[in-house]
Amino acid sequence: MIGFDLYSVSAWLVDGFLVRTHATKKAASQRARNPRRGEPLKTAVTVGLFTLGVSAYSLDLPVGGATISSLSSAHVAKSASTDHVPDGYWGVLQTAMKRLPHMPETPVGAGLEFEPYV
Amino acid sequence: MAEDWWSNSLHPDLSQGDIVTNVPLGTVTTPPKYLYSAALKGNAAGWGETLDWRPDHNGIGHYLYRGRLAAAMVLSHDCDIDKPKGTHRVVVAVAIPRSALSAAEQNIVFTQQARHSLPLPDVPEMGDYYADFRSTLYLPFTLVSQATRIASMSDAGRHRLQAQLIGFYTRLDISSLVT
Repeated sequence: MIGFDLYSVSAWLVDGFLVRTHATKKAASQRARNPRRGEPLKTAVTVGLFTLGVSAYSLDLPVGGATISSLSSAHVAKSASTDHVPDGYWGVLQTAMKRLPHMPETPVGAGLEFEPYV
Repeated sequence: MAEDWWSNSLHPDLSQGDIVTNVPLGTVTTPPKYLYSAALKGNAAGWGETLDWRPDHNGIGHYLYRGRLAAAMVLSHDCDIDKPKGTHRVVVAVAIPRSALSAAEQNIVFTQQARHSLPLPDVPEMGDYYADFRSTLYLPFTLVSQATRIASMSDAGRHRLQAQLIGFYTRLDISSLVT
């Protein structure tokens, strides 16, 4: 039986790292057999975060004109306020994203395709 | 080598990052004006406005929208739209010509300083646009899939789009990681 705690975000985290994505009976049973199931992702995130500082340099691209025609020429200008993104924001975020695996596709018939309410 | 924002050809199916044109985008009037079926002159079918909500037995009714037929960017993930059903929805963001912004606003958006707006440079056949995430809505899958698709994003472009979604919806402060 799946307890409510499995749906809690805190149950997805181990030492602050995301190790679960969603609770299913299958996932719960696998977790019981292999309590270290989240280790590969945890490791990947850890490595990603530790190397972000270095990676950020390679993404700190030169400032061009007001028009950007390719991703490689994209840049982040100096932030003018707290609502503006800081230098290097998108590059660092993308580097972190690239180091994370994609979740497996939801199998058809998993019961997750709810009909829209309106 | 420069990474293009746009794929050289349209993806086979409707995909995240696609640009579609002439889709109805807008929102309700304020205050909301509800509609009821009413006969017009000559018994033509029409609608009347009321401030009273008159839903059907399922709780569904009609109300007035105000907006534009405009371009939009698909935000829904492919996994949510690759098994289409008539009832499926597609989340989109309004895509707006760069020229709609002032010079100062253009500088902010096209130097990627705004969390809420993703620059869309050199959209094929359209030119410079931007997607405003403050103006997102859902549309029926059937409507979007039948609209004219102008462009599909490259893998790198979609990655950039996804980063913008994270930045906009989470306001993650990663300044400590920026060296």
